[in-house]
Amino acid sequence: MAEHYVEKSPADFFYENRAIAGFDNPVRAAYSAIRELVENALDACEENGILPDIEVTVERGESGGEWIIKVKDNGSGIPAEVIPECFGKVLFSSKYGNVQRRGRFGMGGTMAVLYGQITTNKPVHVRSSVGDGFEAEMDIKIDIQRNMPIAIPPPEKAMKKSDKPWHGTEVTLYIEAEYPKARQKVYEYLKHTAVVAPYMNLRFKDPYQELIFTRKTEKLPAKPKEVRYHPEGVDLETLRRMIANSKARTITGFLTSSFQRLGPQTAKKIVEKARLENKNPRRLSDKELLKLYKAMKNTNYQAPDPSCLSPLGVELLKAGVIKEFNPEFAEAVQRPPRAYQGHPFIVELAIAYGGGVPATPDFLLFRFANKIPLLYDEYSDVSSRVIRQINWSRYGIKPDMPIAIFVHVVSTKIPFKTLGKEYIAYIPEIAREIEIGLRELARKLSLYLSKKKAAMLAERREKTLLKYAKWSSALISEVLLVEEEEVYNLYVRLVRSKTGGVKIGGEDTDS
Amino acid sequence: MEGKILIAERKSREAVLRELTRKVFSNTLESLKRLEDPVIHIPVRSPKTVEYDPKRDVVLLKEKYLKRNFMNLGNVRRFVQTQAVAATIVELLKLDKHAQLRDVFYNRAYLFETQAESDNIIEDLAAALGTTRESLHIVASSKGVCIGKLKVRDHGDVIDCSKLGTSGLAISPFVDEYEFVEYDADFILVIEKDAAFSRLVEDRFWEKHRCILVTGKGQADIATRRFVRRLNHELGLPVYLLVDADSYGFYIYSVYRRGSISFSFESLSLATRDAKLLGLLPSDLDKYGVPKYARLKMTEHDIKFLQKIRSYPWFQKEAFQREFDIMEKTGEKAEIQALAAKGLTYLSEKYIPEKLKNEDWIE
Repeated sequence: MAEHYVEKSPADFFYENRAIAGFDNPVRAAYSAIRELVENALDACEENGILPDIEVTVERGESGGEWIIKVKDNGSGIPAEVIPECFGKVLFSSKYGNVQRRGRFGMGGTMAVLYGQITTNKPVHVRSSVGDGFEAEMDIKIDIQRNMPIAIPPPEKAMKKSDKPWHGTEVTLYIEAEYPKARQKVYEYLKHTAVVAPYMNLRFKDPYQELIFTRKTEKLPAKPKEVRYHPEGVDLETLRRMIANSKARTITGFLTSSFQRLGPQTAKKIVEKARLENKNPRRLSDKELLKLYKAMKNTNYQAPDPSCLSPLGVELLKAGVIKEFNPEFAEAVQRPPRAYQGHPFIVELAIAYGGGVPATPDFLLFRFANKIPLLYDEYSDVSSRVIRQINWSRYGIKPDMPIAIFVHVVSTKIPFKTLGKEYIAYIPEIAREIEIGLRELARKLSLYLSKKKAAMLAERREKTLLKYAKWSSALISEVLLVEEEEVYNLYVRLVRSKTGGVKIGGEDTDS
Repeated sequence: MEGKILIAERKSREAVLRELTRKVFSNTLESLKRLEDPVIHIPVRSPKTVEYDPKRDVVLLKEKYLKRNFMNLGNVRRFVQTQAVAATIVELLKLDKHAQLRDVFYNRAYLFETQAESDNIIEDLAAALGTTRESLHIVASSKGVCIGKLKVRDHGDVIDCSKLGTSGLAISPFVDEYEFVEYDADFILVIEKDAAFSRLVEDRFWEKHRCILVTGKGQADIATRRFVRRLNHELGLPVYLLVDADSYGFYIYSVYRRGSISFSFESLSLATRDAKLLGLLPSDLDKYGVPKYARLKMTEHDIKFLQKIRSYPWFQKEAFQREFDIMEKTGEKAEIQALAAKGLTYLSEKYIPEKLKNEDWIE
């Protein structure tokens, strides 16, 4: 009996597994599509050092359930010949390589296109200019079985002169989805995004309302540098591919040229450990490859180079928090770079108290990973778990106070628990940084609260003392026949001179 | 006894006026001018500063002061309350008038929540000036009543305490103004309870047994205690006490006999130093066959209070400890009226005469 094998294209695979990409139901799909397009837009600006100006509109389409999502950015634009692959080929992306980015695999945007196509049978419409006075405009569909984009017109015929020069990309997506049920999540997503991207302008309009997020700072986070993989951060499959793409003729040559923190000395030791001296890296058998992999894993390295990371920084994070919540108190901290399993990461955190922060039964938690807000599965997230582990009462802090906590994790590889990018797994190294950061913030808030309390008590104390001073002055005036006003003024002088220095409360004191 | 003792003396109106004005008002104004926290020094009247003086056999107040200052949220209210009461007293002294405790409370009621607050401050000021409350021209209404062959002169009127029917002489708050003109009695009988007192009055006990009957109607007030003390001191008559057979009975006896914590600075002029506890003793319950149904079970509170008083130094005598042991063992107490179970006149015709005849008392 002959078995029948069918090779599935990546597009086919993702279509069948759309749940993992966040497109499993019409509500979630509406939210995910908007999110993916906004993230691509932001990346297109930030990666090129451009302050983002983003416009998002959501309109009703022709039929009842059809929605038209339009996202326009002022990024560097996409060269016409690359546009079809960018939007019409799953697993095609400018986003490979070891650097921190919002998106991964370039999958999300294409998934949105794919989902739009299968629900409305309409292509995605793309307009883009790299700022040379010309722009490309085309419709793109995906040939799902072959994982090939179909561009109409083809790139070479899609160019025309712009009315006025611009750069950026405008994507119009048709999608059958339940937007009305998803819109609250969308608003939430945008508000959270504004916290971690205080340098963006974003106009959002849907049939219900218009939201405008205004740039609060001209400062963009430092651009991340692309770095080589850290040897602890690769899996066997990546190693195989790296060898395939390498031109090195010796294993030591491959190792030193492909990895960071791996010098000739270490490379030699690894090769010896794996007993692969004098082997050609391209001719390794599976068994030998596994030996090499194991030898690499059994070696100690310096922590990975964090220069590929682009955290917001304390100043920007705090600015974002203040901008969106206008709190009475806000503070942010950034932890030094650390690594887990060869992946560098940085945790930055903020805390906001009072003002526009509402009091709820529990702390408000805002989670971000590589500048993406995480809105689902909060309870399982590492931040949420760390918050539950901390004994807040030690800091005089109670969960029902108006407190918002912001946790931003940046990494070349965020350890998401699911492909839907909803929550970060409990990685001890990350949990530890979150905990240290939270404790530092808790101490700062605690200090602020106690100062505030002291100031309040001092004020109340003065008020109380002066109330009694009034009565006392009247009595002294009555008995000693002196001016009441004069006595009262003496009291005022005394109370003001000693405010803060005298104890509060207590009984009659022994002499 | 170590340290200086604070003993109240009667002082002239002028002296009180001068001292009060200085301590409560002038000093405050001077402090304010020097940018200093004004302080009024008040003697501490607490179980810690009140001590039993075995030599004099009374409780006395050790001279120890607390600072009642203005710049302290815990004190400022009492500081101003003290000035308020002092201002009222200054006014009374200037006008040479007297006032009741309640008058003082109402005079500046905006500063007080309860009369207990102003009452307490009056005592503070009396102690601070080392004088009696009467010297501040403040008097407490008295609950005390007296019946017997005794004539007193009060503001020129001579009152015969044997000719006042069953109501008797209501002891005046100004008990020091009484003058004892004439008497015909062998002893004083002080009865805790009004009910028992009425029983004895109706049975004309005072006539048959040549005595003066006094009741403080429960916990004795200052005037009643001072009255008993003067009868004992000036007429040389022995004083016997008739109280309930419970921990409070012993405590009431102790107050007549040795003074109280609140008025410890006046103990020497209030305590009747040879008062004898005639009854009702816990041991009398069996001795006089008080039936079980007329006895009561001690409450938890009674038992706690018993533990407290049995540790008092002046209750260490074996006679007292034996009575405490009985209460502790039986867990029983009884009111004086429990004797009525043996007959309505049993108290006056049998119990008291027999106790007196047998000299069956403790002290």
